[in-house]
Amino acid sequence: MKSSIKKTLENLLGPSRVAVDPVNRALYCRDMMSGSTLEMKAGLHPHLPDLICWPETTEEVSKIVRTANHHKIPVIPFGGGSGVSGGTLPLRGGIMIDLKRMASLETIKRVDDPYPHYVATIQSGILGEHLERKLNERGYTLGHFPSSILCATLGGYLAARSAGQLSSRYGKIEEMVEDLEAVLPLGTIVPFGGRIKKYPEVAPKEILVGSEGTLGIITRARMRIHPMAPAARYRGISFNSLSSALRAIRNIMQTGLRPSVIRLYDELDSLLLKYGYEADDRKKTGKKFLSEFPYLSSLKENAFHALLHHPDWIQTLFQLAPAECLLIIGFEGDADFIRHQEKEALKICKERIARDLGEKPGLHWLKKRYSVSFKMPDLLEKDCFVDTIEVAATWDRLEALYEGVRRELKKQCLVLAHFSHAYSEGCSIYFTVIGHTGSARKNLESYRQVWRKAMGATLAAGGTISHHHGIGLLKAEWLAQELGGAMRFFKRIKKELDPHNFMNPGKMGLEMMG
Amino acid sequence: MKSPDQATSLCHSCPKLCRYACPVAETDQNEATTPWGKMSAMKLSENGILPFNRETASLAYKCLDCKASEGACELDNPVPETLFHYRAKAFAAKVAPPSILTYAEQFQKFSNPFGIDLQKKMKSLLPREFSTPLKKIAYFPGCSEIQHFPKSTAHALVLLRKCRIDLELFHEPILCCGYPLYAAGDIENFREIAEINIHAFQKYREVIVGSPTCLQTIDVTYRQLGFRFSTRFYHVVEKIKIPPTSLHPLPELRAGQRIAYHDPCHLGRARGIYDPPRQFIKAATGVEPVEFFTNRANSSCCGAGGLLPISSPDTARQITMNRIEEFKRTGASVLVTASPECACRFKAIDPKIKVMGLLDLLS
Ligand SMILES: Cc1cc2nc3c(=O)[nH]c(=O)nc-3n(C[C@H](O)[C@H](O)[C@H](O)COP(=O)(O)OP(=O)(O)OC[C@H]3O[C@@H](n4cnc5c(N)ncnc54)[C@H](O)[C@@H]3O)c2cc1C
Ligand code: SF4
Repeated sequence: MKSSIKKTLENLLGPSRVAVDPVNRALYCRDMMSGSTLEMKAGLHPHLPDLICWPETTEEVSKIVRTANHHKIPVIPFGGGSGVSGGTLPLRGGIMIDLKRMASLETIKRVDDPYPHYVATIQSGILGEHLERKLNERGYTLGHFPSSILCATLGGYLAARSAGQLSSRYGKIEEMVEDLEAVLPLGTIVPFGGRIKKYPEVAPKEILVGSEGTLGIITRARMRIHPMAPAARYRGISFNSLSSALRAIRNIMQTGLRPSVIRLYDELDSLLLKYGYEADDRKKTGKKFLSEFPYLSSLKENAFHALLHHPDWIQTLFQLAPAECLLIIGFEGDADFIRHQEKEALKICKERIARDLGEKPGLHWLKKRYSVSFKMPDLLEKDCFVDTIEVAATWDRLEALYEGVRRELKKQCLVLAHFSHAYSEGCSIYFTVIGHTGSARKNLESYRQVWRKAMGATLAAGGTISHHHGIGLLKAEWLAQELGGAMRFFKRIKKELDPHNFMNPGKMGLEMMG
Repeated sequence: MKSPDQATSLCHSCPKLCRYACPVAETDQNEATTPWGKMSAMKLSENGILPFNRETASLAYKCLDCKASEGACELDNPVPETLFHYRAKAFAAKVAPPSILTYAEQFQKFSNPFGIDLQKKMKSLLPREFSTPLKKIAYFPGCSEIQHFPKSTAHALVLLRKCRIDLELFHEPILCCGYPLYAAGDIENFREIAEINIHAFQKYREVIVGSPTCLQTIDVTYRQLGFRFSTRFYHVVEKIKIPPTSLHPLPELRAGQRIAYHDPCHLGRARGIYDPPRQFIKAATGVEPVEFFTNRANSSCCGAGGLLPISSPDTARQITMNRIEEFKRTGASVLVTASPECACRFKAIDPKIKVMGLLDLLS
């Protein structure tokens, strides 16, 4: 990169907010896509950004983007870098715009039109957990609790259409946002209430939310917030088959009940969850689940690896064992109202063979709801490959999708799954895949195959390839297959807003043929 | 405990799950200064991808040793200890930040960070009776307390005697645990101080310590370095058990002033001591302390630890200011803490707020 660009940006932001040193460049080279970690373990060298900068205002973001345009270099918006689809990878170098210095909760207002509610104006770089704490300190909540709340930003949530664990009550992030302020690829600022010139009939949020930094940089957002819920109830229910549990969830959602959380774990995942809450009383939190896992606890790491070489054995074993699928269901809100809702939901569950396990599993889930994220580094350090694949389908295709993906992957890796975001039309499935091959290179190869097979099976079952982790680089090659003709619209918008393709290039399949 | 290689490797594979808790990361808003970034940089230097030069090494110094990331990490990854390992490496290779090298050099003059003879100062301030040697229990105030809060030392001695603890004042020439050297990475000289101190401590069955940082250094870090000793160490607040009727608060506190209690990282997160200081405040003043929004295990750091004020003064200052802002939002008029280092830091950054040591609440 030319030193004149650095100079220009230093003049604009001050030298302390511009970095070109090898340390910063090395640490901004990836997000949390498992594949990038596996690549590094296999000794493959990542793409490096040329420069990292930290704007503090929307105007600064606009000026940085204009400078990049002038010098014909890419810009990549960077939030927390917690994305798991390679969205922030600087495939062609360029300027990484880290937005985390734009982290104010600016105002909280009551709005009466079209109905009384509260709205907060927030800069996009704020970390999810910090935002939630600031809101809590004032008596409010955003109601958005993704497992990455500890490490993701509001801008990242919006850019990747994130879903939180209580999405059934509060909605996905795109349902929480009322308006946006953004900087377009040519540097134009779209203020709150403004319109993108080329699309005056569409609210900018409809174009920018979910665009993963390819169409613009979200700088501020007006988010719907809620007074903190006065009461909450959580419980566990055990079903003896996945199908009957799914039918219960479908029924609950279609009768108009509004659980805050409704999560169903398949047999293997249920066993781990159950072991977790039963062990909760005895053990310190956060111990590695695989070393605590009853059937594996006496086996050493290499025995675990050996098992992972034959994942289908484990799955067969589970088919023979008596099945149990755990449902975690929770409600938040007015105490009487949620008691009634819970009663109705339980009634629906009891119409099938289901056992009420009481509060304990629900409260355990609540307490440990972010703990599962800690398993990932632990397994990667055990020389495994591991990832999560979140897909979705309408109710009529859901089980076929579940079976299809498992069938494809069962010889290659251990597959666990839970069904976590339910709607009246359908539900998402969150697969966790764990495998081991014996070498870093082979792990990477096997991991890539797993993704190819999983995406193929998803599309074959008529599912969607992403419910909330976004497309990024990881799923880019399958997006066109899913969107069909709609991909042409997306490409047209990209061409019109970013004619030189400088804004986060190489992502979301926008450069692919077809 | 995980080796530095295991610990850095684990962070390098982790999706930065503790970043929200790290005050340095929150202030700098740079991936490089998240616990993940600092640990990853060390890993990359071990792998030869980054050189271990001044730039890389400087990240090992971007840590307050506040234990917040350890508290947030469910994998029990020892971030500060690991970064301090790399500080030692940086110090030995002379690639530590220049301000740290100068600081460590100045420390050597009097074996404390203040450049004065602390023993002399202490003797001139305290009643002679407490220097009577040959007791089995000693009070070790720590250098910051002697320098900035000598009254606390006097209070501690009187109160502990009231609790029928027959003790003397630790009266060796070196009155510092050596933490500043440990944090600087000057392990060689730190070991030397540790050795001298341990030799002196071994005379006692128990040592009661004024500064939580000294307590943590002596009781944990010395042991981590391989030193073995049977003396037991306590923080002063663990030992004061007096009925409230015999505690007399300062007259100005009787007017019902609200007191907010700041949890020092090395007393709270490091040792799990949260209730005794609060109980002491209640007993001494008759009023429950007001809580900061982040408190106990989630308490934000005061910004003084890990020599951050020396290596990154602007970041450290911002962290202190954030905590002071949080204090102001409590509505309390007095900030009380059980650590002389924290108290001193708050006073230094905002002389207008009223800051008191726990024992100084008494008249
Ligand atoms: C352990 C773990 C658990 C996770 N759990 C969940 C979960 O429960 N639910 C969920 O939805 N996701 C989850 N994710 C995925 C990830 O956290 C989300 O995609 C999150 O929204 C990304 O936010 P970020 O700030 O880290 O974005 P980044 O990773 O920095 O960026 C993601 C994408 O958005 C773009 N971008 C970032 N900020 C902006 C901006 N201001 N304007 C425009 N574009 C921008 C980037 O260029 C990139 O393409 C998880 C990830 C991890 C590692
Ligand atoms: S300390 Fe723990 S949570 Fe933090 S980055 Fe390292 S492994 Fe992750």
